[in-house]
Amino acid sequence: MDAVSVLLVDDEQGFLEAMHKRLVRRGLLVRMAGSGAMALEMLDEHESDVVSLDQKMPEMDGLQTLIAIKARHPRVKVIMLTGHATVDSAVSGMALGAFEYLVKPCDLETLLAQIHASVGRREAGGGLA
Amino acid sequence: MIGKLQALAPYYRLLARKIALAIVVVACIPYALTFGLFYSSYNDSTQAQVLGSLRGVVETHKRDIDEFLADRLSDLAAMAGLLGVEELQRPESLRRAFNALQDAHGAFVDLGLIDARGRHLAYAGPYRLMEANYSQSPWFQEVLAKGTFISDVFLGFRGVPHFVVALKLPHEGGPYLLRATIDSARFASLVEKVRLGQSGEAFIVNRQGLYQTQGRERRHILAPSGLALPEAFEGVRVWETTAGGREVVLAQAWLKDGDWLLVCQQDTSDAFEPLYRARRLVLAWGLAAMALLVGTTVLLTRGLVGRIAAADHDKELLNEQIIQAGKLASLGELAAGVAHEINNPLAIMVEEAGWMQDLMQSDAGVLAQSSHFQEYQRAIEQIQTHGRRCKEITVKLLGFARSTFSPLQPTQLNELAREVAGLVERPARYANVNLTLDLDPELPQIMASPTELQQVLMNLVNNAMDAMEEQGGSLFIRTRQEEKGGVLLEVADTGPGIPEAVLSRIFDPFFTTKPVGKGTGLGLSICYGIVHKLGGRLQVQSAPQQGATFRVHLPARPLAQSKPESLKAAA
Repeated sequence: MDAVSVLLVDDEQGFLEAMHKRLVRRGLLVRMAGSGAMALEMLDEHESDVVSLDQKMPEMDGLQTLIAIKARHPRVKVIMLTGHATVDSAVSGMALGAFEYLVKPCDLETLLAQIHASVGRREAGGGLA
Repeated sequence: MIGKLQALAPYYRLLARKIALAIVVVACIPYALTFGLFYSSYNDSTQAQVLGSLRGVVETHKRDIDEFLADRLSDLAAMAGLLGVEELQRPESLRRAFNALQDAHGAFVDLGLIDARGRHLAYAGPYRLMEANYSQSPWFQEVLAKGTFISDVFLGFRGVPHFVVALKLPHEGGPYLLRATIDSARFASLVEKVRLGQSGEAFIVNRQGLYQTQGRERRHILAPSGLALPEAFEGVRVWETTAGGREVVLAQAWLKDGDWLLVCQQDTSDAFEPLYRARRLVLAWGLAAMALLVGTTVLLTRGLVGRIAAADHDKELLNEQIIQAGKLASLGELAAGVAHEINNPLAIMVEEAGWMQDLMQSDAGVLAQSSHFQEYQRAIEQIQTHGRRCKEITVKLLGFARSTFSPLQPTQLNELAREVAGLVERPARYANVNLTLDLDPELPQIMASPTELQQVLMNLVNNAMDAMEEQGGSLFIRTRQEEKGGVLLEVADTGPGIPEAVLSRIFDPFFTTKPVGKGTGLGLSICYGIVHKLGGRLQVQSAPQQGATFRVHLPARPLAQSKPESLKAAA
């Protein structure tokens, strides 16, 4: 079975990198995008199984990006990452087809569990690959 | 709050005084004007009435006296006409005539017929006056000149005060005179009988100012009166003046063609006694009405100011609540902003530490050589532990300020209370706290967020448990029905209570009395925010050593539900 491919979308570079390293280490195919537009480009180029999408980004925000992703790549599962202040729109995102939302700051274990859940696989125990 | 009201007490007293004064002044000026006007016109008219009635009495009296004198002259004239001079010369006839007159009214003392030389031709009376010669008497000349005459009072031959009326009877043998002496006592009683209250008297003085009658004071007849005699006038004059050192009302009238002055006088106090009595009554009424006015005003004003004070008090409370809510809102925004900004770096720190852990696990074989391996691991764990602690704080902060994401649903507080009681049962036992549930079985459901209310209740219960940590005590959770479908949730403890200085700050964010690291100071402000959002009120009542009671009043449903539609759509 192919490794699960994940696209992390966040305008916070440090967070992207930290998560990227840790997820790769746990056997996932991970790409990173610093903005909604970039994420769309990358998906157009090559679809990922799961997108972890930050809610609050400059220019194109999480909700807009979600709508665009769902329009162009309906099969892609989207996990919304949100701050407390934007929980409302995250819930709206659920209505628009997001798989789940997580309240930031979320830790690796939670995100990993949701990624596996979204692709219908049991978590690989969280152990290192 | 109480202290503030007490401090304001003088202000309200002053306010009450000012309002009362203003009302009394405004009401009293027209009242006093009306009363004064009424009083003075009443005074004037009553005075005029008193003087007018005195004038009437004196006018009647003057007429009576004038008539009496005229009647005596007509008596003589009638008798002379009836008998004729010849008959009158006969002593027997004169005596009979005199007796007839005496029988009629007894006003005469004697009667005599006198010839032109002043000698008695006949005399009837008690005195021996047959030999008297009147030719030198002033009245004798007057009668001859005028035809009739009424004398002043004089002493005469007998040295007794009296006066005479005389009539000239023309006859061919020279004129004759018919002369009669008037009974002074009878005349005096006629003059003095005037009815003028207690102190009224009447007397007569002649043109020379000599007393003609004694008056009430028993003056010497013919003694000078000292009165300044007025010019001749018609009718009666009435005025107020001072006589003999007394305030009197004086009435004067000329009698006998201006020969005699009738003087009636009465003490002013006596004359105006009815007026004074009425005046006292009116004044008493006026003062009583004024007192009533002032009393009513003071009472009404007190009530009014009491209401103002109560309204001020309510406003003050409301202001405090608004200020508190505003403070929380702005602090909440600030806190949320800070928390939000810290969140991302915090996440990165924790994840990077996690990354280091990942790496250390894979490099364990190499790193285990290092004597610091354990230290590295411990330090990284510490970073992660405290990073997570920071995250918890920011989550709480965000929860404190978050926009509403808590769908309202029918909520039964009793259930929540039982759940929370179940959660704290065990720790309560350890802390020697006796937990009592006192739930209203009829408690209605309310529209609220159960998770949020649970948070509130949990917070209050935890605080109460913390308060009784050292000594143990009793913890009560009560629910009660309130009006309009609202509910009351009460959490009471028997702990040491909350000092007054702390009481006003307990809802402030970040205010805590717990040791550093044990409390964030956000619990109660979050509760406050939640209760407020649900349209309720959170109150606290406490005193040192008296425990603390927190009361949450919640309405059946919040007044302004925030975005219920979008929430429904989301769910």
